[in-house]
Amino acid sequence: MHEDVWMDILSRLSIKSLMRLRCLCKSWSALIKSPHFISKHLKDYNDENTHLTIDCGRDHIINVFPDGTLTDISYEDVCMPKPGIVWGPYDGIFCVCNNTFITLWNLAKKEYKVLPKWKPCLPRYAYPLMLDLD
Amino acid sequence: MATTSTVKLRSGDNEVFEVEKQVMIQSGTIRNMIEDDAADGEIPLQISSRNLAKVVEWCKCMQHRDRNNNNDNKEEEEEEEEWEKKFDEEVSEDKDLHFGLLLAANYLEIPALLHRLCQLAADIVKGKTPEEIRRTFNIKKDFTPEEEEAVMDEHGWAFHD
Repeated sequence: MHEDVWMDILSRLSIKSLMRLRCLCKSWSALIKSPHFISKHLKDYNDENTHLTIDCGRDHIINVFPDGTLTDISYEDVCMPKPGIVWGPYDGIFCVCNNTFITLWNLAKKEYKVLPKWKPCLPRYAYPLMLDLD
Repeated sequence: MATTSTVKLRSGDNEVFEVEKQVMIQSGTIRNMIEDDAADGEIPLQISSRNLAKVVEWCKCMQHRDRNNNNDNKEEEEEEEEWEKKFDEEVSEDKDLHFGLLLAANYLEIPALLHRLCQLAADIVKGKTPEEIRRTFNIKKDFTPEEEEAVMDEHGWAFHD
């Protein structure tokens, strides 16, 4: 079947379903992690009923937001990669900041990356803006 | 523009369907042919008669629904809903029909039908285990044992509720 048709079908599934499908075979895995598919999924997948609350611990910061990329996540799944202030989500990605690091956190995929070689030279509120600048 | 009001579609197994142009302009491919005056003879399609008959039936139903959209006829509305429900059930239970229609809707460029069939396929995928999905879509597991272990390490959490 044409790859566009597969993309159309898969873009209707939640991230959790997609992560399961990545374990099926190499071609599906490659398709699901391709930038083209990720953009399509972000644009097309929409579940307006999704709401999530995050308790960020000591600071007791709670965010409630709708974001279609975060379907299937239960409260127990939410475990912050590093302590800090949470910003976002921006296309499903959170930015966790404190004085020593910035972490990009993909909560739906349970993946995070600490930005390398970061030096605090901007006011703290400016860092999440970098996500928009891409 | 051609003068006749119908178009003839020839299936891959040589059955001819004569359908109103107004019905078939839902297909981008056929609409372009009609606009280019290339639809006067028969249009040969690499689609089986069974699948083509279903596509034509779907297009007729949608055109009928759109034409009656402003009518407040509850009885007709219920009939159409019933027809769509039956269509969904028939397609969901018949893999060959489902795949054949997906290919046909893609080739004939009928976005509404394609979207409906894709949603049905997505609903089928949602409720199945990986092994069932492999069987349904004829997918061969091509990971080496090491690759499978790595991919399960990374994404295995998604199999738990």
